[in-house]
Amino acid sequence: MMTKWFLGYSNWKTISLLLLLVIFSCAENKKMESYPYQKDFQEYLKAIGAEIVTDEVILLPLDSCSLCVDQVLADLEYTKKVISVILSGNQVSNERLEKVKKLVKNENLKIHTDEGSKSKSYDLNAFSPILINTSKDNFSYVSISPQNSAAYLLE
Amino acid sequence: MRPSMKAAFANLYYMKNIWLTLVCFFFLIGCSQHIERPSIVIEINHKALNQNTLTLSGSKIILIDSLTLPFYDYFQLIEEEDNSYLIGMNRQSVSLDFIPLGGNQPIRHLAFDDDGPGAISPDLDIFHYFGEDSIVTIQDRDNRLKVFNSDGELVNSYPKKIRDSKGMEMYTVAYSYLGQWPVFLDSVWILPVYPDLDVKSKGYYDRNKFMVFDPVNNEVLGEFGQYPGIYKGDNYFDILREPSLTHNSDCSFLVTFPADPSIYEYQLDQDSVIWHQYPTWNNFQNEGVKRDSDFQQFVNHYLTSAWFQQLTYDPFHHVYYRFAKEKQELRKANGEKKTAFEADWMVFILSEALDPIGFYSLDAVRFNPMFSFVTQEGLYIYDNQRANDDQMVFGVFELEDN
Repeated sequence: MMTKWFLGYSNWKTISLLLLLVIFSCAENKKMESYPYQKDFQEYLKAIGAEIVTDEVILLPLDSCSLCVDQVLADLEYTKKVISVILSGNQVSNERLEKVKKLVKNENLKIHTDEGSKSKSYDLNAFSPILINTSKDNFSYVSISPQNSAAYLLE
Repeated sequence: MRPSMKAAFANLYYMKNIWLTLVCFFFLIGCSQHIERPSIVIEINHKALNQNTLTLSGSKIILIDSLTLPFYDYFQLIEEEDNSYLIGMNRQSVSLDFIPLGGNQPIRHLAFDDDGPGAISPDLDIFHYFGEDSIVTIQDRDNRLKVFNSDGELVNSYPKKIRDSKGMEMYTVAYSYLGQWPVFLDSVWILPVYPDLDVKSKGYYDRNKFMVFDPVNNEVLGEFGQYPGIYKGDNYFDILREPSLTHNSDCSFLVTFPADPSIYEYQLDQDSVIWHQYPTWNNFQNEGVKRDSDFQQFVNHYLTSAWFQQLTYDPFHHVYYRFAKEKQELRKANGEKKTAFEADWMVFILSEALDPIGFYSLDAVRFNPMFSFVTQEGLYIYDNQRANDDQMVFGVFELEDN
């Protein structure tokens, strides 16, 4: 009975519709908003001597929200995307530093460090990990949480 | 039937329904033990008399071992066998550290299980040491509270469900670094709570902040701590929303809000609140940010604006200490942003009657007002200047006349 029901509705049109729905829902999940701190961000990059050659940059304050940081570090370990990662933070546990060291071998990650925690003197709205898209004239960004990290960093 | 008679009967029927409704209403009110206080507001205006101040009388240096932290955001002071102990919640090793404030006793560590029913979360909200076999832990959304012994073994757990007078489930919390602590009395506990509502929504500020909880019967007996009007307007205060609760020996409960100079005094058996007003502190009133501001805008506001920290009772001198941060510029001359501690900080001294009787200008770069407590020796405030990593250092401040 179930097979019949499934066969009856699994025509190409239905699959296309479902695919569209899936793509639409993914696009909704990956919505980014305009980044109002673009100017400060560019000044910050100059201050830490980071030249960005990728479309996406993740600002990763290692001493912020533990769950968010740990999830981002876990996803960055496996990502195939080419992303710049800017690490900052004053008090970072050894356990977390070990996870960071693992990322260095990933050639697709362009890692920069903000050694003097200069990020705190700029308006970046990055009190937990954020992903900034710099591919267009007007940058966009999103806060990365344990719930959306995989969608932005792995897919 | 004549129209007038018909109308009279209809009115009678209507009246009967009203009476029935009223009787039911009062019956239900009478049955309810949960009281939302208070209904009467008594206003008192206070004028400042600057007669007293504090002096830094010395430093208290405590040698700590490698398992002990130099700074605790959540702690309790206890007396045990003529010794005073500071119990700190160690969120790194998930333990309670018993640090003697005098004598030669070693530091004890009560470690909890890593896993299983006896485990607790590093972000535990509340603990309270009643005695060796009665250490209570409360986690905000956990529907049971746990009781441990001094070996860290789980002795028992009890159901916990907290609903306010409107029937909404409330979750326990303690923003201890903002001076928000629960109060544990013999029969009831006064617990800070939050509703499952977005903190930016106006509904969040329509709830009372403290629940009078009877742990034996798992029942809320009353609630108090209404948000003042400033929080109910169009502006938003983020973490500057959390009030502190201070208990003195007279069974009064004092509620203070970071944005508001006033002090709200409640008593559990009274239907009134005493609204203590301080016009001389109006420059510390915080205006908040627009409700649609992002967190960066709030943080800049937090750094630059004035606000109040905790109110601490000194039972040895019968005075209160109220910590407050002054306004400051956002940046230093070199363009770097200032921290909140680089502002001027005040410790206001209040009499038992809550009259301001003096103040002290605190160097908050050195002394951290977020880790302070009172002993017989004076007001202890955490000192950032320590010679070695194996030290926990406090400045000890004594009350004196001007």
